[in-house]
Amino acid sequence: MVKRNSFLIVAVLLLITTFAFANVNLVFWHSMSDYQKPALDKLVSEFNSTHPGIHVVAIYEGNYDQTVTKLKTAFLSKNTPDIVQLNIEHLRIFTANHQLLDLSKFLSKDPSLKSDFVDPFWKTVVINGKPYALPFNISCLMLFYNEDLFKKAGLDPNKAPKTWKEMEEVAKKLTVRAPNGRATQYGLFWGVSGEDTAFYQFEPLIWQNGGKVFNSSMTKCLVDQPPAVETLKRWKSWFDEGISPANMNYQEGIQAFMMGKIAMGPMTSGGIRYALDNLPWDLGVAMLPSHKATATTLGGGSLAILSNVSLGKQKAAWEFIKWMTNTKNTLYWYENTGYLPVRKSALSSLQIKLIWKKFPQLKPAVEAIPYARPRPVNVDIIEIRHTLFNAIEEVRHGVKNPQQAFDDAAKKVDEILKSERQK
Amino acid sequence: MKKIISSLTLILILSLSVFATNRIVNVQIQGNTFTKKFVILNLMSYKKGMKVNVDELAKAQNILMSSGLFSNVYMNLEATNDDYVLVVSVEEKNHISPIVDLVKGVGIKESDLFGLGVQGEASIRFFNLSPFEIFAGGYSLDLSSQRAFGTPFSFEIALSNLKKMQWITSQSKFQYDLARKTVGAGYVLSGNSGFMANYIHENVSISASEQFAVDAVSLDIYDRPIQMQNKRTYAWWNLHLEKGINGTKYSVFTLDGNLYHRMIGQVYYQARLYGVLNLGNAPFTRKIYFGDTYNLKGYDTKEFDLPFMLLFETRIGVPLTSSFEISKSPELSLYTPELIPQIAFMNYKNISLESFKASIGLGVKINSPFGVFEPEIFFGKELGFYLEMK
Repeated sequence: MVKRNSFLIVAVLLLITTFAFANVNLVFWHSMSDYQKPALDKLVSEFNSTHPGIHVVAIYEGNYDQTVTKLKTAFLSKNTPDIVQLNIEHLRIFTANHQLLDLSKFLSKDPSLKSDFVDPFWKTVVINGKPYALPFNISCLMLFYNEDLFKKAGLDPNKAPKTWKEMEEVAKKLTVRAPNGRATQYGLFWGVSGEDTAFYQFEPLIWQNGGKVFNSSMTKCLVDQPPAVETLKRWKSWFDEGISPANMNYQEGIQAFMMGKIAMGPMTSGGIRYALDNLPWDLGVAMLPSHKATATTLGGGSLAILSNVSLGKQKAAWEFIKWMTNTKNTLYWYENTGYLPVRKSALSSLQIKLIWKKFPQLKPAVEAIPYARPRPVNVDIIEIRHTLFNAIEEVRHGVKNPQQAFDDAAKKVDEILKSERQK
Repeated sequence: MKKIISSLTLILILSLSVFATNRIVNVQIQGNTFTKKFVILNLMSYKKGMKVNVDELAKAQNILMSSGLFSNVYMNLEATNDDYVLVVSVEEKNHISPIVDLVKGVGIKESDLFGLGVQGEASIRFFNLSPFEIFAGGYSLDLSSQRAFGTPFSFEIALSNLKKMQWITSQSKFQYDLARKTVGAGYVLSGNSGFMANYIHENVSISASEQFAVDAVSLDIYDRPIQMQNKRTYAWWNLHLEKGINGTKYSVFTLDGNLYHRMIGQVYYQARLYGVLNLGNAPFTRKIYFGDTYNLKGYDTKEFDLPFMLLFETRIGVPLTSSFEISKSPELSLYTPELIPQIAFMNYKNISLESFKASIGLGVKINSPFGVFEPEIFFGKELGFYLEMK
């Protein structure tokens, strides 16, 4: 009798688990294009084949900023996805209006999960003490350099510059000029014109010089302070001395770097595999050079569930984002893109050591984690970044001097921060 | 004395405890729905009690990946006291693919027969693609494994009976039937280099009137890259030595050298040097220099009854995506148009312009779920159509 009852209970439980996720279709918006897309598609396809009751449809919705715009529109038209990949800086835009699901209720049932996420990565998804996403594609800004050009210039390709001073010296050696004085090869490529990238590359220089972009409560912009202004002066000198191209936009810079016309520059670790698969020369990857401090920028995206999805879908979506970030999958994602593994168990795994054997260029990004700082976040972060980008552009083009440009930018940003607090 | 015994005991305990740490006491295989566990263990060269060694484990992972059986191999260590359990998760590849071959006909290839890691091929020749002459008859069966049941030993057993094969030379044109039996064994050395020895017996009949038999032995020595995913340039080669026995006096030496170099993006250059030296009086069936898809294309190489040939082929490929943009990753490559110039040097005893033959080809390599196939068109002495399958 006991046996029969046990059998019945097991059968009922099996039926419940089978039907719990029966025919749950989830729409997942992401920003992974080009070389990252096949790896993402493979993960989604594997999830679908191993989770019979859930079907995830992954849709590319443009870059992070475009996804923000589209998601805002989707909320207005009430046609939102169920899961979205958001840049860690953009989470606040949607948590402010309670549009993302607080994941605390799921995490409380799985207490070991939270502690397995790498601490600085976990902090990027926690807002006012509540987790609104799971870190997924986190990257560090790293120094990419052309080992072939290093060898050609008589430099050791295994020794990347470790300080600003070393970097400037190496960049001078790597800058080649024609008899008319015009540079045919540049040593450095740092913070050239590009709305999405210029300030992203500039920001860690302020930290390395002992400065900050904002105060800790994010109520005041500090770029008018000496560390940031000094950094801007030093950065401007790289263009003035001709070691970094002054009249080149970001895309042109990337092309020139790829063609071996620029020797080194800061780039996201999320692009290491792309670089290894596509560059026509040997790639070296190293930690960003230090100055008064060692620092790099933490960037990338996370997986969030929208708060307006049904309870059934929430559970299925949670299964999906948890699965996408599990130890095995985060390592697969790391090996195939360069985005950092998000789990502590992955960082200490055998598999990561095996990956480093195949792709040693992926290792320095993991070693950079202790020095990686998340970018400051705010509801109006896109507008703030635009203001700061304009300021460094004005200096690069000689429209303003560094102090003027950052004084003006700090005032504008303070106003944005103030108006946001008053909302 | 007691002190000595206690010291020795202590040393013994200490040495045993040192011996017991960092060792793999068990291996768990996951994700293999088809391939047998012992095959995977053999491929990994796992020995119980093996010390954790990242280099050795990386090599094991590479061998599993290059076996062609798996699309992904994930390794994890689970601690048990002072030792470890190695957990190997594999994702199996599709192991059945079609065969479309100019000589063998059409058939099916099973790359993991009964989950034993053995490759089996069966094909039926019911038409002759070259002159589009349709007729019935002919079969090929092949059973082989580079690493038999995961061990370093290779074997091959092949049986074919092909009817109405074409042979056209400047002097004559005829058809013949060829029955061939091949038995071979070999050994894979470290990495993916090794050797393979074969015994070949052929019965040939021409128009039912003339019949002869050929017995030969051959030795192949090869070196192929194991894991080339992270390399921009890699090379592989095969040296083939063949000698007639039992009254058939001839020797054939063949060298097949290949070089791959990724130039920029996914655009690549591939060079192949294929040389044959034919000594003695080889029967005509052994004078097929390269096999149908490796010939100097745009020519009928059966016309060249020469003891020597050196072929240099280059392939410049531009991988494209499904929307015909230049691909940024190997996974996105769907079509690869290739430009294929070929130059052959035919007669080393009489160097003249006549000794050189050239052709140029255009091909499109297409990645399909059943493998890679490539239709090609070549312009040489004549226009030639070819189909390569990989």
